[in-house]
Amino acid sequence: MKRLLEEAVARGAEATLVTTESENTSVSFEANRLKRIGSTESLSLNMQVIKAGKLGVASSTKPGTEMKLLENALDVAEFGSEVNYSFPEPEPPVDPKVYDQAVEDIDVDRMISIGEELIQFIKTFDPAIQGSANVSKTISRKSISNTRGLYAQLDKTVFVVSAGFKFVEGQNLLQSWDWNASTGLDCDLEGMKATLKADFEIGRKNVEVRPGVYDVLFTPSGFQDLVSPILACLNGRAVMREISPFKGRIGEQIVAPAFSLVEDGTLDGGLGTQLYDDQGVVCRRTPLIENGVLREYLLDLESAYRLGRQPIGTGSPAGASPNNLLVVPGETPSEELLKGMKKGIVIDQTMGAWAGNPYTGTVTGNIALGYLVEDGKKVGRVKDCMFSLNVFTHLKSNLLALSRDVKELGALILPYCLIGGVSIAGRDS
Amino acid sequence: MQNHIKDLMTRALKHSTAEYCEIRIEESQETVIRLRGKDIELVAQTVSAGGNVRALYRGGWGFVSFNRLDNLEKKVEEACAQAKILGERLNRDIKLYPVDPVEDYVRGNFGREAFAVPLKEKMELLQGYNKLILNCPEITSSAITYFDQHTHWHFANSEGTYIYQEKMDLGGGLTAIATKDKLTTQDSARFGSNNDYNVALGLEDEVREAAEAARQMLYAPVVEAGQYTVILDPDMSGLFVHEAFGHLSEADDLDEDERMKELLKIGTRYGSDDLNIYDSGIEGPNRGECKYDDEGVPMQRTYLIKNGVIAGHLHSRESAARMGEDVTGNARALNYRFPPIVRMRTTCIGPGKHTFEEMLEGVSLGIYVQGGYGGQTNGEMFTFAPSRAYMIRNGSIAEMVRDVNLTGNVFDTLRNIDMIGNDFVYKNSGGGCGKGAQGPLPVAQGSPRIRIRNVVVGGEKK
Repeated sequence: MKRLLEEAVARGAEATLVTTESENTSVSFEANRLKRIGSTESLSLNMQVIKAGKLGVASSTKPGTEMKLLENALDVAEFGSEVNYSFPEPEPPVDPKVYDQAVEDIDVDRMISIGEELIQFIKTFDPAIQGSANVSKTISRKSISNTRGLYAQLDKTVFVVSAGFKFVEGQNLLQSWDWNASTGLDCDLEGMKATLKADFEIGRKNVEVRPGVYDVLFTPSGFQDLVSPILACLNGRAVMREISPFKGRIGEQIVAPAFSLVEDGTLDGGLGTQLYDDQGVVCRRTPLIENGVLREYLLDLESAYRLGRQPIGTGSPAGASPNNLLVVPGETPSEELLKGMKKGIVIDQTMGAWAGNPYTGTVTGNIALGYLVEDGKKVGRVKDCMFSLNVFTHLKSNLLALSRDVKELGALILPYCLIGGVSIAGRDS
Repeated sequence: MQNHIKDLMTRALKHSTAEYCEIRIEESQETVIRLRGKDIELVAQTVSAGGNVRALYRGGWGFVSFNRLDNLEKKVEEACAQAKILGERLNRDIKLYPVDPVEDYVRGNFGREAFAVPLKEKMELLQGYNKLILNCPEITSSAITYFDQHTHWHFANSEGTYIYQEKMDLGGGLTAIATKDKLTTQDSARFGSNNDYNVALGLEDEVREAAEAARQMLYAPVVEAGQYTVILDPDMSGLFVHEAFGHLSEADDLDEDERMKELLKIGTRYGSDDLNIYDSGIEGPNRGECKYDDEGVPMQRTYLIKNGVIAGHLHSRESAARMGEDVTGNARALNYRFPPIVRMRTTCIGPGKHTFEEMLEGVSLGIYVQGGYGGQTNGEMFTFAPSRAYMIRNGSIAEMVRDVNLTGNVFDTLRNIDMIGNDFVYKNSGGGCGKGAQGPLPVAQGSPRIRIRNVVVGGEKK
C-alpha cells in the first residue's frame, strides 16, 4: 500500500486508497423451510488520484491488481472532474464501538436456530401462511490511506435478522416483514414477533377508506419516504448546482421546530459509523436541521469548497452521503399517538414513493401496508390507495408529533411521525 | 484463457460430494461517466472479478462466493459441506429440471463494442449532449449518466456442462433540469443496449424534447388525485406489464405456495381475448438477453398470457421441476456474488389493433402518460410512475400535469385494459429491475400503447 502511494507521488499525483475486505455468512428460510446457507468473501479496492487538478477514480475486486488500479485512475484523471481540493491531512478520529466478538463467534447452528424460532412462530398464525427469514453476520475491515500520511483501519461486525410472511386469502395477499440490524447480537426477536403477529391479525380484515384528507401516523419504516427528499435537498452537490430548494437558506426555519436531523459518523453501534469518510475527512456528529432551522448540508470536499463550508466527513468521490442519520425523537410514546387519533391512517410499508422528483418535495406512493384508525384503534387494512403530501410544507405546517420511541433501520434511526392533512386517493366506489 | 478456466472449474467440480454442483466465474470491466451541470462529477473504471459455487444436497443449497480464484476445490468442498448441513436436516427429494449437458463458446455478436470506444470519444459525445441541454431555455442544470460493461462469463456444472459467454451492456440517461422559484423539474432521454455503442449516438432530438418537457413542467399543475381512464405510451406500457404481471409470473414465488399456484393456474382468465403477454430472452438485441441463463439453460420466449388466459410461468430448473412445467431460462443473477433467482428478461405485451386516435376517442376526462420513470410491486398491488403526463379532455390531449404516480391491483387491472394499440416497440433504457438484494438487473420491455380504465392516481385532492 505504501509503495503504491509512493508510486502515485512519483507520478505527480495525490492519492487515496480505500480497501474493504469482508466475510459474510447467512442462513435463509423460504416457504417455512430452511433453504440456503451462503458465505461470501469480498474484496474492494478503491483508488482516487488528483493529477494536474483533475480527479481520477478506479476500483477493483481483483486481488493483486493495485498497480493496475493506479494506472486506471491516472488514465481516467486525464478526463476527470476539475477539483478545488487536496486530500486532507490526517486528523485524530474518535474510537467508536462497532466490533463485537460475539458476532464473529456465533456459529451457523445458532443462526439456524434463530431463524427456526421465527419460522415456527409465524407458522402458528395459520396453516396456509408462508414464512421467510434470514440471519446473517458480516465481519469487515475497512482501511484508508493517502499521500498526506493518513492510515487508519476499522473492524466492524454486523448482525442482521429479518423475518416476514406472505398470506393469500382469496385475492388478498397480505405481506409483512420486520428486521433488526446491529453491530452486536442484541436482536429484539420478541419485538419482531409482536410486529408480525399484529400485522397478521389486523391486516386480514380489509376496510374501505374514502378518498380525502387524513391525519397519518407514519411508522419509522413509512417515515423513511419522507426523509428521502430532505436528504436529496440537503446534499451539497444539489445545493452547489442550485437545484435544491435549500440553497442559501442556512440559518432559516425550513420545517417545524419539533424536527431535528443529525448526521453522526461516530455513533457507537452505528451501522454507518466509520473513522474517516472515503475522501479521508474525519467523521463527526453534525446537526443538519436543528429545531427546524437549517444548520448544515451533507458535504463532500468539492461541495464544501464551493459552498464555502467545512467538510463534515460525509464525502466520497461521487458526492456526499450520510453515515448514520437520526431524527431526534419527541416526547410521546407511539402507542399514545395512536390512541389520540380520532380518525386517521397508519402507514407502515409503501411502494413507489421513491419515484417522484425529490426537489419538489412531493411524495406520492401506494400504501402497501397501512391501517384505518378509528377512536385510537387500528380497525383494518386499507389497500388499493395512494397517499400524497408535500414534505416541505407538511413538515413545516402539519407536523403534529414525533414519537419518543425510535427504530433503527440500518443507519437511519427514526421515530414515528404524525402528520395532518395527508391526501388519500382510492377507488371512487 | 477459456480453456484454462474450464480446466480449473472441471477439476474443482470433481471435489463435489453434493447431488448437484455448479461454478460460475465472471470478470468484467466497467466504465462510468457522470456529468452534472457544467461539471464532470465522476469518471471511473472498475474491474470486477470473482466467482461462486452452488451445491444442492437433499433439498438444501450451499452457496459460496469469492474474489480469489485460487483453491477453487476448497470452495467446492465448502459449498457442498453447507448443502449437507441443510440436506441432513431437510432430507427432501428436490429434483432439478433435466437439461442436457452442453459445451458452448458464445462470442459476443456485437455491433460497435462500447469497451473499444476511446474514453475521449465517449466524453466528447456526452459533453455535446450536456452542452445542448444547458443551452435550452429555462434549463438550469443537467445530469448525464453513462455506463458500459464488458463481461466474460464461465459456467460449469457437475452434469458435464461448460459454457463461456461474452456479454456487453451499456446504458444511460440524459436529464435536463429546470428550476424556477424553488421548484425544480426534470425530464430525461434514455438509452440502453446489449450489443451496440451506437445507440448512444444521435439522441439530440430526444434531448431537446426532454429539455422542453422539463421547462413546461415548471408551469404544470400537480395532478388532482382520483380514478381515471389512462392511456400509456409503449414505454410506460412496458413498465406496467413488468410490474403488474411479470413479477407475479416468477415461479420461485409460487412453487411452494398452493394458494398462489391456484390464483395463477394455467387456463385462468385475466384479460380480454386481445391480451397477450410474453417474456423472452431471444427477441434481441435487448438488455438482459443472451443465449444462456445463469444455470446454463437456453433462453426462449415464454407466453404468460395468451388470448387473455394464463399460459405459463417463468422458471428456474428447481421451480420448473417442482411445478411440473418446462424450464424457461429465467434463472438470473446480478453477478457472481449472488445465486440465480427467477427474473424477467424482455417482457412484452403483444400488439393489438387500435390506433392512438381510437384510444383517445370517448375519453372525456383521462390522463396520457409517457416514459416509464419507475415502478414497484409487492405481488398484490403495483405502482408505476411516468416521466411526463397530460390530461385528456373530451378526446384530446390537453395540459401537462406533474407529480403523477399511478397504482393498480394485480388481480383486476389487466381486466381493465380495454384497448391495445397497433404500435408495438421495444424499449431499452439504462435502468434495471430489483428483486431481493439483486438490482439493478438489465431488463427490457416491448409494448404498444394500451388504455386502462379505473386507474387510481395519487396527488392532491381539490
